[in-house]
Amino acid sequence: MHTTFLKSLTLMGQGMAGIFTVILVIFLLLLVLGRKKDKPS
Amino acid sequence: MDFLLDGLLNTTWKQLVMFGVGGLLIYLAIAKKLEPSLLLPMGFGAILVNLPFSGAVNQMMVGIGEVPGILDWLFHLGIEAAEAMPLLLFIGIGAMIDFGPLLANPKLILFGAAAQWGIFATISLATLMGFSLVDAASIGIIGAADGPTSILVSQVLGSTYIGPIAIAAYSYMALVPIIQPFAIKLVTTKKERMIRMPYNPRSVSKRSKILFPIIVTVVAGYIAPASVSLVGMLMFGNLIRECTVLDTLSTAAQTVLVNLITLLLGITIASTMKADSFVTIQTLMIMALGLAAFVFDTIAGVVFAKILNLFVKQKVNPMVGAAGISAFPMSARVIQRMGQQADPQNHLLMHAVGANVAGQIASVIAGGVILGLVPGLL
Repeated sequence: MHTTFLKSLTLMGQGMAGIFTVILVIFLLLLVLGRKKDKPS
Repeated sequence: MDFLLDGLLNTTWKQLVMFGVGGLLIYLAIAKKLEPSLLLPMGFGAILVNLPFSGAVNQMMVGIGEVPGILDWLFHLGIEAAEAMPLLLFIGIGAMIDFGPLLANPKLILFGAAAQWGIFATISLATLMGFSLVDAASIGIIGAADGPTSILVSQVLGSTYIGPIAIAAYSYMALVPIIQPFAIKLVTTKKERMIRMPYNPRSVSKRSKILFPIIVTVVAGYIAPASVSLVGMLMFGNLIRECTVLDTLSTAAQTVLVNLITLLLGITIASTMKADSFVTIQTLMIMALGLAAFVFDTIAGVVFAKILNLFVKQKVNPMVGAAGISAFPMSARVIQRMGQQADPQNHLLMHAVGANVAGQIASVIAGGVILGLVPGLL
């Protein structure tokens, strides 16, 4: 159980890092998209 | 004529318990209107599969061999083989989502990521309660607050608890208006809940709305390839909606497709609710862990917003962080209502909606990330 718990903590670290990486890249792309001056819908 | 009594004489106490569970789910669906489109089929299915010698599931018959049942067949074809049902459902969900509030205020997407911490906290808690990493990860994904993602992840990882996980995911999504206010009040003061947030959205072009689903799919595909089936289907549905040249398909995806898949998904999941595997102490533990997952999600979102407030001039109402879960639009409505309870002039709805749709993106990414990481840790 001890080992499984440690693995779950590893999963937490890697998982949150992975999610934030994807989200931050999307966030930056959203900012870039927002700069384009085209007609609002 | 003894065969007429065979069913009655072979009924076990566990099957009777499942009749009770089925009856309870039907009651909650009809009387309390808790996710009726899912809980009602699941409740009826729970009764159907637990009738002794039920022909709805595979049975061994003397002299004939195995006779296939419709629900086991549907499960094999629609979920086990390629997770078709939950994935197709995402096309409809994507077609229903308007990412406009998120595109108008991009920083809200960060709340979607933060609120997924509840998934991982629950996984750790589940391992402490004795579950294997595979089962713990499947249970933790209840915290995605997203039924199809929960079903898909638990099925791909091969968890034996797919039935209780699906019930917990859908039940607690319906109970968000009760769970979230409790969790938010645990970690906020009234003064914090009163923080006003002016709404000055930037304009969003049609081109941005069309590019968004394509870009998100490509980014998620490169960084977390395991998430691409989930994210891809969600974004495909959204592209159909936003392109404006496929309005009939968009309408079909939002109505016919979603209704049909939901109808079949509920009763198909019920095939996993056979008494012998369902009436266990683990089921109760999963229900408790599912509740914990929603509480952890909410707290993580609020705490992240508070941390963000340390660095920004324009303060964020910490409750908006709690909307970063996938339960849409219940969570956004809860935040709006709580904001007005603290200050009747406080309008948080559009911020909360933005965080809420961010939660929908982040939850499918979280599902994909877990599918990508867990096999490497076994």
